[in-house]
Amino acid sequence: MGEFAQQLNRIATFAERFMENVGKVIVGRKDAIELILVALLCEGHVLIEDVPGTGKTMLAKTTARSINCNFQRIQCTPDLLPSDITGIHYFSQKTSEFEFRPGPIMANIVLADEINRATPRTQSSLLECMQEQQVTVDLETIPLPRPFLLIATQNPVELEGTFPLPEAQLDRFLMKITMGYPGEDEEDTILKRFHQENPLASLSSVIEAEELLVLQKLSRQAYVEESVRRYLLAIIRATREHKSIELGASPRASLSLDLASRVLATVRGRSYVIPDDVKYLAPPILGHRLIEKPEAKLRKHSTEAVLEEILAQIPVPVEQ
Amino acid sequence: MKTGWPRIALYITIIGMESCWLFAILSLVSGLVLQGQLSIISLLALYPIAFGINKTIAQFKLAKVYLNLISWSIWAGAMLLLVKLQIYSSLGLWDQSWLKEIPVALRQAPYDFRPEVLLFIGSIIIWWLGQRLVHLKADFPKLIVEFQFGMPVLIVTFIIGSYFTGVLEHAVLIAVAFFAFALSGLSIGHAQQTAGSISQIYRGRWLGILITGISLVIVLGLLSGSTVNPDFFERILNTAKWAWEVAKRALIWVASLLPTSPPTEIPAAGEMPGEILREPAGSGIFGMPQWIRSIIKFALFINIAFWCIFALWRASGQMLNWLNQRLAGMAGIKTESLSGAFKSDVTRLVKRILTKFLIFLLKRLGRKTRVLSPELASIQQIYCQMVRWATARGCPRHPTQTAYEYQISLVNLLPDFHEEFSLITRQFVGVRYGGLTPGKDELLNLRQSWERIRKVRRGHPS
Repeated sequence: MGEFAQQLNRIATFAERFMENVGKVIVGRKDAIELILVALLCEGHVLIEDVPGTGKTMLAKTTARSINCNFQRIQCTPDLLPSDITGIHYFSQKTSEFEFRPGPIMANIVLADEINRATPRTQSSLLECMQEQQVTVDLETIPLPRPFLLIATQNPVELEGTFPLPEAQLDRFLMKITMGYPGEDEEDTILKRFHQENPLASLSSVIEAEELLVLQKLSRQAYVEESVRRYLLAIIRATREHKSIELGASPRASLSLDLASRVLATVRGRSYVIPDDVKYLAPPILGHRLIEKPEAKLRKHSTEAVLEEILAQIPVPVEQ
Repeated sequence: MKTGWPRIALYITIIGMESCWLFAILSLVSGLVLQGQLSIISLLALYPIAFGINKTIAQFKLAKVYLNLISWSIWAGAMLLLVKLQIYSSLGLWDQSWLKEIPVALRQAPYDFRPEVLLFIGSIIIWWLGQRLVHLKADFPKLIVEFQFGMPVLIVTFIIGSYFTGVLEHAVLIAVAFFAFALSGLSIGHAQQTAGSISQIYRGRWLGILITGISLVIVLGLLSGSTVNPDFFERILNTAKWAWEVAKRALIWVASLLPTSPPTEIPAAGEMPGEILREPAGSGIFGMPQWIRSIIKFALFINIAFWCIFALWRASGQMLNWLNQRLAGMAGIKTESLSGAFKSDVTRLVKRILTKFLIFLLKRLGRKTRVLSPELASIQQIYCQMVRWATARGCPRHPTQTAYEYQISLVNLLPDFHEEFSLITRQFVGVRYGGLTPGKDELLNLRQSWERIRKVRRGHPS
């Protein structure tokens, strides 16, 4: 762990530079920026959900711009086809052969804007890309470039003409981030900052894609003490046994929470995970994976409230 | 059966005594497992109801099977009503979704102890006690048996409760109420008999004497409960220290009167280590490793528990002997001997508690595979001492609080010691979760910080 402790500086420096860079465009919301950084280092996909105009797309674009890599944007609409995302084989008259034209998914960072406006058929074309980081077109399997990160946004209030994401797809998102409205001072800063020009236009990258891959490997090496792991598992188990929850967190969720906790620890300059990391990450990582029972929905008992309740009940391992 | 008001009073005192130890046990379980979500008082309210209903049912001329069937059907209704009122009060009157939750909660009881389970089990016990009381003859010997049983149960519950902060908050009130019921019941029972001082010359005024006696017990109990606290003991300790200082000075003065030997050359004293350095890191008693200390602690606990039970045993025996002597001449009075069923019950209970505790300890020892170095163990000890110190000052750590969350509470308690709390918490977190070994300087800083905090007296942060 000694050598790893030395490497921690690299991750911490990158984290600091990344947060500062994104902070030039996104005012406040340091927690959301930190979460997206964790997702980036976990190579996990992010679903940003909030009402229109709160900076979802801006956050995704700023994240992509902060990394020197390919970026593509997909504007999801009901008439979007799976082949519009994955790419197609077309007949080239020059070579008299079928050639593959890659779709926008063949990029390092992909922004799927308003993902719930795409049809279930198109949404499901993303499943293989998200989990296996490859795409199969006409029996041909093509690996996606690394690092690969899908950032999807959706609007929770406007439901007309939308298709809710299926559970299988929600489970493939590492975390769900909500932006929320800025405070009065923050909004004042936004007005001043965007008065003359969009700061995104002059934003430079802070890391190369290759360097990011190295940091991704490094950040997974944080140590998880047994009692902390047991605490994490107790949270997961509690979601499966809670009276208001129909479907609890999956083993994929526990893996995600474990990985994200390790990464968050390194981002915060630690070589070991503490219960605070697990507690902090449980709502964004588990919240969107839980399905409430109908009666809980009727009682307006949200999954966030359930998670809050669970976290307020599970003892934290402190004294030995 | 003759049901004059003294007999009703005897029934009330039995219900009261049993309610006290039931309240203590249920509060302990509720506090430990359910974070005190339930109102135990409303559950106990079922006891007199159970007694009244069973007494009424017993008047019917029906077979025992039918009587039991009626009684337990009423229990089911009462239990459901309790569950509805206590847990699902927010649901509508006709919303029956909560009914489905009860079998689910019972099925999951081995994994997740929910309030429904406690209400279910608690109401069964209370209903059974109510049913049992109907067929009991409320008299002096019965009250003695109830007192004999209730007192050890209460003591054992308080001992267990003392290991968990804030679980048994009303221990003093429970104890006072138990003794008030016991004393009033015993005196009424005694007065009902033909012998005894109250039944003779003071027979006409025994109710007044009784009320005065009970009031005195309650007032003295409450007074001692509010007086005997850590401050009180600290004052006693300070007085003892002062007395010792006076005695020491007197001795020195007396010694100075004796002829002295020629002065010898005293070697120069080395540098005195600070008070905090006197105890080597994590070594504790004679530099023993942590696991040996755990075993010694356990042995001490067993020893103390044994002597407590033994003392209780002896005291009960003496009381019974005295009572036997007093009641020797009275006809129709029976007292149960300690060598009877009570003895075997207590022996079995003690054996079971010890076995469970031994299994728990062995499991814990087996699970602790990581051996801590003295430095690391020392940091953990300091942190634990700090938690105990803060708990004694009204800032306990909630089981679901992380070390950093608890740090915020500590800083709110003593804002001037922000740096110290932060240092101790940071070092502890590094040791506890990262196995990091701090340097000598850091360790020294940590101890000095803890010393600074420890010197703060309650309400005087300086």
